[in-house]
Amino acid sequence: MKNVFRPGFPALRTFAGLLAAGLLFSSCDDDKVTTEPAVVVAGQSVLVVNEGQFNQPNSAVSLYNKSTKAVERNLFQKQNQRELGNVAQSMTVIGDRGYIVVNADGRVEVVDMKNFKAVAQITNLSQPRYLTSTGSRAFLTEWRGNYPNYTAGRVSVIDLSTNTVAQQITVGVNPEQILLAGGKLYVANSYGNTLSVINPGNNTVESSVTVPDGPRQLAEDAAGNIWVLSDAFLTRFNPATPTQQTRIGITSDYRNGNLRLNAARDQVYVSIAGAVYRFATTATALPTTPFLRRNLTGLGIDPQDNTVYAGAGSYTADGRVIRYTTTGTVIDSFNVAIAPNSFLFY
Amino acid sequence: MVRTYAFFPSALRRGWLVALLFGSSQAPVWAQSAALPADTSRRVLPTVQVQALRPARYAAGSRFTSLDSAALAPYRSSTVAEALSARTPLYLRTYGPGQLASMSIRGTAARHTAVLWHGFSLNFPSLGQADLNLLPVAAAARIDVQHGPAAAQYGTGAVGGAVVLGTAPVARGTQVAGLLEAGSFGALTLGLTGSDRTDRVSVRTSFQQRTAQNDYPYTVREFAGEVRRRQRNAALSQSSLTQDISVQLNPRAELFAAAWLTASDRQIQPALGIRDVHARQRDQSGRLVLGYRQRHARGETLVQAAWFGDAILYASDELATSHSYTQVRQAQAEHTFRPRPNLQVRAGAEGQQFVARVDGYGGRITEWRGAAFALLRYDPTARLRLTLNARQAFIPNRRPPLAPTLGAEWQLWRTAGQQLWLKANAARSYRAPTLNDRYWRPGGNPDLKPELGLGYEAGLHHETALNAAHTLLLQTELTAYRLVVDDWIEWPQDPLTGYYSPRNLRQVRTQGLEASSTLRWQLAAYQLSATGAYTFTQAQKTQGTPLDTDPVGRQLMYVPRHAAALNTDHRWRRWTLSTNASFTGVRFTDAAAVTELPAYAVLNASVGRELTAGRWQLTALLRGFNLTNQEYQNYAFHVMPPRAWALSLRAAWQ
Repeated sequence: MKNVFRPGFPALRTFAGLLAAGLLFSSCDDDKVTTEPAVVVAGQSVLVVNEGQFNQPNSAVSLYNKSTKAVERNLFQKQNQRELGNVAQSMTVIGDRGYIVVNADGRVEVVDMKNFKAVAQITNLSQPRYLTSTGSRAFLTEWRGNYPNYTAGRVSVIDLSTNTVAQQITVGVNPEQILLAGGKLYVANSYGNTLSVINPGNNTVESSVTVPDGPRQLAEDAAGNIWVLSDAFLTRFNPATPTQQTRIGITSDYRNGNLRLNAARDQVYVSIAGAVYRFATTATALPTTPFLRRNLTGLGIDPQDNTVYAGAGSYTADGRVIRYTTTGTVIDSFNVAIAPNSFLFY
Repeated sequence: MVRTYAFFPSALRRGWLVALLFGSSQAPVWAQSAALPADTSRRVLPTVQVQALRPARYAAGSRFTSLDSAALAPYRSSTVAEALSARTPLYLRTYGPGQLASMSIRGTAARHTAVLWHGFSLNFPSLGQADLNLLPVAAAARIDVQHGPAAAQYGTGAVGGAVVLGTAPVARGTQVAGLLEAGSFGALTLGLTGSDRTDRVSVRTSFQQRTAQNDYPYTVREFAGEVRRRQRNAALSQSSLTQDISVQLNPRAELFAAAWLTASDRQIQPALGIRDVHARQRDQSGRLVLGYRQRHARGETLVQAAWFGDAILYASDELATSHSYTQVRQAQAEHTFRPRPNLQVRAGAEGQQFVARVDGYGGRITEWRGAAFALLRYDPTARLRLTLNARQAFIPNRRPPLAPTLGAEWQLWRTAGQQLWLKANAARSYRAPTLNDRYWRPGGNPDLKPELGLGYEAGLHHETALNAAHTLLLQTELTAYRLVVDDWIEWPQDPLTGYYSPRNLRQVRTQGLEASSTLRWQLAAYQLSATGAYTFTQAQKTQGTPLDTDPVGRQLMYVPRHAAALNTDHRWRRWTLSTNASFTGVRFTDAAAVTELPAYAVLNASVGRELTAGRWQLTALLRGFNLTNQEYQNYAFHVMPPRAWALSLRAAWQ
């Protein structure tokens, strides 16, 4: 622990916390982990990815238990006794492993979802952003170059059995989200106006789809249509006819936008210009009245019951998560770490 | 001091703002004489030789922390930041040895400290703050820190206080000196000074070059477990050249010029455990002052013109080189008049033109600012001193209100061996928005109001001789203050556009206590000076606009509630021993006061020995830093050096 940033609890509170967690009585001996109860309870857990402060290793994943309402502010740090790293960008669960993309450190931390202990690291990445999987392999978007001279980005193909990069596919500049839909991988090239379409069978870019400038976030609705959030438009198209697009104008906003779908995947949620809008996947325009008027750093929809999780805050203090019902009524709220940017329901 | 910008959506890019935008023995307050409070003791210096503004004259009732040449002697090869943090309880925030260091006084922000040289501000006009690790002690003969608002004297930015770098008179005759110091972790310093003074002309040159690798070891827990690493990317090279020339045109008139060039090339130390992106910052500053002083029967006239230019270049693997070039062309004229021996009035005016070419501004910008001021010092009796000052500044768009100061010192009682003074001071200060605040694109806000500070303080100053021979003297000073800064500027995110933009966001109140005590003892060939100092600081946001999401009523980030320093300076025959212990209390690293950095204490010491050979004087000095080998962080996740040593040799000829 020497030299590691010590979270600010008086010793007594730390002691009480350890007591409550039963950790004082569990041995440090790794052989006995079988007796340890799951830290992340499947079906009850919400993992909150917090970006942390710039150029500090204090990004964090917070754990919220829906039944006990207990919050563990910095689960990764607690379970691994080290900081997560410089800007946690996203997290993806594949099987019983969690993959946390640590953007500025060029690293993916692989954790065991039961106890959130790190089991592997994928390192030497270039400004990694988002990750998706086809089963045995993961596909990770990465930026290349430096501000403002970015060059063509890439998708690294990761062998999940060895957690190493097996192949790299060049795409457009500053690729953001990557979506697996209809057997193809769609990559949003945010410094441009295209999606790269990758065939995961042979790891090649087989086509591209022109969309409005600045595509960043992607989703696939129940009808199989692909949704794209760009700077000033939401775009919907059928993968079979990608040039026939429905474009919904939005207030131009450079931020992530948090494009989300409800459990049935027939409603879209998006956070733009200080408000959250919700509308049917058949809509052709943004509703005139937003679902919520609140400036958010992150948005999540619980696939179990459509509860809305809204992350808010500045980059100088811990963020707050507010939970809303589907009618937009506040349920409750809890504190997490700095800058909650997304939610993962496990 | 941290700004965020919105190049694009992630924290990474937001952070470039940060990089780009911001990218004492507490020596006795009354340093030179145990018997007389501040400016009285300084009055013994002949006026014509006092080139720098002596801060105390028009600051009755203010608190000072001063490092005189004796206090600075063990820190000759250090920076102003290093000397102040080792010898005073003043809080300096630094990202590592030699890295950006800024000082906040009385719980305010770094941009609320004005740093002055020859009466002109050294704060970068783009950032509004100075980097005290870019300023070597070798360029200053003394450092005076005035606590509390003092904009009437110093202009914009002196909201929390001011740091005044003073110069000393050039000694008669010819003197040269050289210093060579080698220390742990690749530290190497070379210093050369030379001066000459005749009846008419005095010249002084001072040069210093220092390099350091800063590759010190530390322990960190990584994926593989706890490992021992060496600090990466923290090397630096800095040089400083000062040149002073003064010509006595006639017994009453003097023409003088001063130049100060500094250049620094620093690797930027990455935070603990994060990827090294090979960040590097180069800073170059040139400062020229030309002045004319005319003495009259009852006063003097001083006219100065100055040109200050600063270049800051920053680059890393993730950021192409960012350029910031700023210059300030400025002129001051002031007239001091002493109609009666106990009444002195100084009135003057200044004008400044800022010219900036900064990547973030999208082009060249210029801006004019001006100010008029009047300072009055009146001592109705030997036991009462009063000052009344005022400054009216003129800046584009928003004129700051009048900044007045009212101060008093009253000798409550005096006996043969003791005296007790009551002191009080009230002042209003302002800080004009920085060029970044006004012109950065996107986000810059030309309609910002200046920040306003209103402060008042009261205190006691006690001096006593503890023995009949007056060889054991004790001075104690206690000050209580309150300071309210309104229209405090921060860069919140605009909810609609997502861009970060400066706003007059909040009100902050700081209050606290400052106590210090100095003991001086002389016994035959032995001399001791010991100073203990303590500060208690409570700093909180008290109000905010709806855009301001930080909570009220919590201690501000990086403001320690408790800080203390204990220094001893011993001299016996030709030996010197100096110990400097400083304590910094717990600091919160977030605005909600949730996460904290542990308190730490650092002990430095030095042993010196002088030898004389003819006209040569040789001084050997062994310096030890962090002698308890404390592992500590001043700024979160930035490891400071473990125990370190330096050996310096200085040869002076006169």
